[in-house]
Amino acid sequence: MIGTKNSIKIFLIVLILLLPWGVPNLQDNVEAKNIDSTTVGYYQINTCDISFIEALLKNGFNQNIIYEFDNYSSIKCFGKINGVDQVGENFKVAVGTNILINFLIQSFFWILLISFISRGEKREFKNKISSAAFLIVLFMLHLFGESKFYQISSKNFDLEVSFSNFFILSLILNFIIVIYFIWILFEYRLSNLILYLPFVFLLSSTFDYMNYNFLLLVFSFFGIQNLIETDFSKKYSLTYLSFCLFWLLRQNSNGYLFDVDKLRGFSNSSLNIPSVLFWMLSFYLLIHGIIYITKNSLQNIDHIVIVKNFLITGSLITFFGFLSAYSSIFNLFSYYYFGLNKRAMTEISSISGNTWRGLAPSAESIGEFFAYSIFIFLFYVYKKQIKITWLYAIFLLINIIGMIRANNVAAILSIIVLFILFVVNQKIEVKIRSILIFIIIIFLLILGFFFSAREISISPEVSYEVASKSLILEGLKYSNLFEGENDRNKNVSRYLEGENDLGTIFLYPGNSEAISSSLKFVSNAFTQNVNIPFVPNGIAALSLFALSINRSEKWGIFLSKYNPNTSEFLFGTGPLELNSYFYGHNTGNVDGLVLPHSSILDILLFFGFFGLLLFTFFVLKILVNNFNSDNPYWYLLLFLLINWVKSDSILYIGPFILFVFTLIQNIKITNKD
Amino acid sequence: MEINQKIIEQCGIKPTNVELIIVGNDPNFVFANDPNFQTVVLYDIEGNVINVNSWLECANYVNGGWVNNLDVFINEERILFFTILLLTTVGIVLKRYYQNKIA
Repeated sequence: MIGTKNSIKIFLIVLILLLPWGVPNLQDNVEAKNIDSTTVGYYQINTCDISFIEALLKNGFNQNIIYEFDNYSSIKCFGKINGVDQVGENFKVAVGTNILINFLIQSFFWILLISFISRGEKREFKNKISSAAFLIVLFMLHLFGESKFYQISSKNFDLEVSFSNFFILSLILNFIIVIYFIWILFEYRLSNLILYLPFVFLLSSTFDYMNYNFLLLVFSFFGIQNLIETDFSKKYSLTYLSFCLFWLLRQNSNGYLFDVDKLRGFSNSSLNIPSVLFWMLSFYLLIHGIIYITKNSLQNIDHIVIVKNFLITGSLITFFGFLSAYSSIFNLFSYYYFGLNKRAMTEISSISGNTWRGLAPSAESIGEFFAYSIFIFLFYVYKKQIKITWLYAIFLLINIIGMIRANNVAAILSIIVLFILFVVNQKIEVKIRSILIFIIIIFLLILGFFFSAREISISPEVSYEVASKSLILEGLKYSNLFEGENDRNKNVSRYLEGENDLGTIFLYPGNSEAISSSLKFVSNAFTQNVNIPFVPNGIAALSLFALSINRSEKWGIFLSKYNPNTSEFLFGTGPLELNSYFYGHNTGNVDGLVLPHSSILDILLFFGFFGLLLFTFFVLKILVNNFNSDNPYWYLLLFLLINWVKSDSILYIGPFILFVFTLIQNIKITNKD
Repeated sequence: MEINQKIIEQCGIKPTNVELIIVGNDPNFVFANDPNFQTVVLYDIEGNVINVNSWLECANYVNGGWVNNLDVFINEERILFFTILLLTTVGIVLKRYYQNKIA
């Protein structure tokens, strides 16, 4: 039986789903018409008069109509048809939205969903008012820092500090209301929250046309509580603070707007002091927020429930992903109500016959999630703590379908290897050293397997000679070399393959200055004269590795663009800050958002060499010191680390939260810690 | 002058027999009435009203900032702000009332 409270909540959810899109203009009698080439003009004249639902009811499930949100509309036009254009045989229908209303509707929808989490022990938050005030200041920093992003996202975006600026006053008021609901919602639910952590993959919670995320807001609030309430590691905080000081002092603002695209809500779009300050504080609070939730769930944590929720989430992601591909209407709604960074895929088929990302922004990260969910479920089944019922068998099957469709081969292979390792470990007691040797052997076998099937885009014939410098070849191909000359690629091929001469290429006028500092470093390291017998050249080994995991092109592009000075290389440019990387060097030869395709390289960009070194030391220390063959999260931490080498998962909030959660599950944490 | 979305919305689609002319501030120009054009009432920010009787006249005025609906000059954010403020105040008062009632 559904209780009265739940009935009210369900009613409110239905209301939030329908009401914003169904309010007609009562001032005139304009009616919806069938959308075809003869009525395009009618819709263009009568903008903001016909509600979205009216148009939907009239046009049914016409597959030729593509619905899109028009963020640049007035509040009056919210949820109404704002324009129709014919593109070939299709009709693009714009539905008016507005960021002030979006913020409220999306927040309340997610708050209502969270309210279904069962209540637990009451947790009184401390310094609520000052926490909220701090979050508002942080939010204002974000708006000021990323004003360029918002100027193209909202018609009346105005940051003038004035009591007559009702745009900013409304936004702050909305923000206060949402924070208030977060207080009252989580006071009783905090202890159970961890059980529903997998759902962050379904509800990405990015506000429409904002570079801000609801989860970031919630976790930042918890992060502040963690800093207020408990003793936290001063050692790590001081290290982070010293990095922060460096980032702020060394900041060189540029006027570029980084098109965050699928990273929306968890990436800095601008390079200036307020935006860097916002993201470095938010990143810090996010980690503290995850720690706070884990600490407060120690007594209530039920891993079986978490595992089941992983499986349910994976099934829902696959199901809604297919539904979004089938229906353009559902595609629009899934984007809005799940807070997706990017519209879900509109096709069931894979991209270039390769990967299918469904609802997720990245096929790699969702592939990792499916593999993670399947492993943890099978782990507890093997341990006989979960009995497979028909329902869970179906869920498992859906997750397997999702994993296969995402086609993240590295995730599939590594999870199989780790599961075999786990089973072997259960039969015979194995020491950590043997496990590492086993992993290295499997790793090399996988490399060999893939190496035989790879091609370098610059050269179809893969010889050891070419493969050993594949990174340099790809890097040079995308560099500024031979700028302005016809067929630059041919020139690169001629020098590198025909003449096998890396040195001469830099003697060509302008080439030496055009190349990035990282590519220059790698080229020098490859051509150095020191030759230790039986020890392969580091760059040659890295190139072979990159080629075998299909990353030579992506990492080559990274090398062609990554142009740090010494201090940037050592300390990075700040968390989630890709602006200086994209607009710093070699901006003309790479089209679109080509990410480094390795979280390790992302860490190098954000936190520099020292940051990467600290991260590696910290994580490996946890991995080695906390080996426990009965802890599924130990295998999963290893799994995520292996996959992070070739995926950008750190750039998405869901996978990042999952990583920190997995890491924490490997540390013996106490309430006081 | 280009035919933009505003002109289409307020004046309709350009009739085929009409030639688009940029009139600007020419005080001697006289717009010819078009009997097939349904009169449109336009307003400016100061509340002045004008009846336009041809598509060309309408397009020129809309291009100059005139609109067919005074709502355009309403500060929507202001209305939204006070609506939310009112709803919040009502919510707080009701909550206090019920809390006192239970106590």
